[in-house]
Amino acid sequence: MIYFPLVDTAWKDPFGPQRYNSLVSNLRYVRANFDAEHIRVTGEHNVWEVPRVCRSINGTVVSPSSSDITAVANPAAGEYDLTLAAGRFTASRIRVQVGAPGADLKPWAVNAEIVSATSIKLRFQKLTSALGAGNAWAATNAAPFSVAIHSEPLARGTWAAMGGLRNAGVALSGDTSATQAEWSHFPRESAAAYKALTAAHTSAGVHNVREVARYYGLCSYDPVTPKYTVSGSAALGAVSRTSAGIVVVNYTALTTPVSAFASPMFAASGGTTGDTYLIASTPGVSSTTFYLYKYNFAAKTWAAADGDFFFVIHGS
Amino acid sequence: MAYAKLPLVVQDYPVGYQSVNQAQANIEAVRAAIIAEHTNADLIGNVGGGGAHTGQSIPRAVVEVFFQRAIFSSIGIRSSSPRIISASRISAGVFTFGYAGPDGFYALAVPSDNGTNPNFIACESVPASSGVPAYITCKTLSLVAGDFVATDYPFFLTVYGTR
Repeated sequence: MIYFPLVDTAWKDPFGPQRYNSLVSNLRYVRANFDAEHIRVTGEHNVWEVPRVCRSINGTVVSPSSSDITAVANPAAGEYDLTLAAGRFTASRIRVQVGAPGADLKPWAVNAEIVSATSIKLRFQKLTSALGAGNAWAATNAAPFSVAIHSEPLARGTWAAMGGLRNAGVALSGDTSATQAEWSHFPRESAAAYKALTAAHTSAGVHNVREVARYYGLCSYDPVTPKYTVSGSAALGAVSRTSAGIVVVNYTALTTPVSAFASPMFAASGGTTGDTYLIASTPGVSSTTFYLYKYNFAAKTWAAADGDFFFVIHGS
Repeated sequence: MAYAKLPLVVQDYPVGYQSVNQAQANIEAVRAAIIAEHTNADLIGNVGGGGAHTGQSIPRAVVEVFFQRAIFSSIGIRSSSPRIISASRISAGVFTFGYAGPDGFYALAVPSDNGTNPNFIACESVPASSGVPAYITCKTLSLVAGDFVATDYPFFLTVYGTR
């Protein structure tokens, strides 16, 4: 399948077989490219790496509301039972990311159990000891937290048949011009492709759904100053270090709710493989505060500590 | 030329050169938008294969690492990703994963155990150097008698980074 760059026609130029073939080929090409990681016609993302749903959960409220997470229960302290829509997930093929809340100024341990294709149980436990003084944990309600749920790609669906169009390369010199029915496939199927594209992207192709992170960045810690620098999305602004292990990243405003996920880097932060960090966050409209905690294996205690980390911010 | 909706034609409706140009432009508008944040292939000699997401906003790999308790030293990966090229259990609660891809990758793991113990996972993403391929180490820790110790349990591994 080949994409042919075409020059514009001019007045009285014939619509000949070569141009006809090229248009057919080009239309099939854009369909194939779009098909690779999206559902045909609806335009939804359809690849393992893009979560099927990404939301903020506060208590039992899913924000914004979602047809994929249909209910949340809080049956016990720290436990959240998420009910998933039938037919959208497969039990053994669900992957979960969780962003713990930062407001408590404590590290969180989170466990995500896949109960069935329509049920996930999240268990949150929070350090109850003071930082630097113990290692006691207890099941505790977390509010709000971020969750992203991935699953295997769904059936891709079908585009409308282009049966009225001859296959690319079939139209030959001397053929009559496209019939009205044949020609109408071009505007019809181009419109369908455009509609599918703009379901989850701007007309320029920029992703504009909550499931794809709006911003990403790498926060690098300079222990000499000390300070942080950030590189990543163009929309990121200044980064500041409030105190040890507390980092504020500013960005062009999003619409709430905002979800954040962060990944600590050990070797790059000058630490050793023995360093172990947990990161919580407080995502906001125009900034997210990250809270980094490090475990001291010798003392068996936790402390706020600086380090490099990578993050993504989801929002609208 | 931006996308502009074209009318369907009926009998005796003339398709002039401007309609042909707009039809071309509409397909090109979709193609250009797709390749803004997805892979494309060379236009000359292209045989397809484009359309994968680019950019660091989307993970490079999302897999489940499951642990065969019946075969204690064996782990496996579900939803295999071409980025994760190998998986090994080094010792209890310590795993390494070969990673194929550009440097600048960042692992994040979430326990998928059904227990109630506090668990967390320390991941280290190590770029390739001096002939040693890139890899990720994950240490799955669980609170035992007041200390976090390496313990086997399954988990979800997400890898972000440069495509």
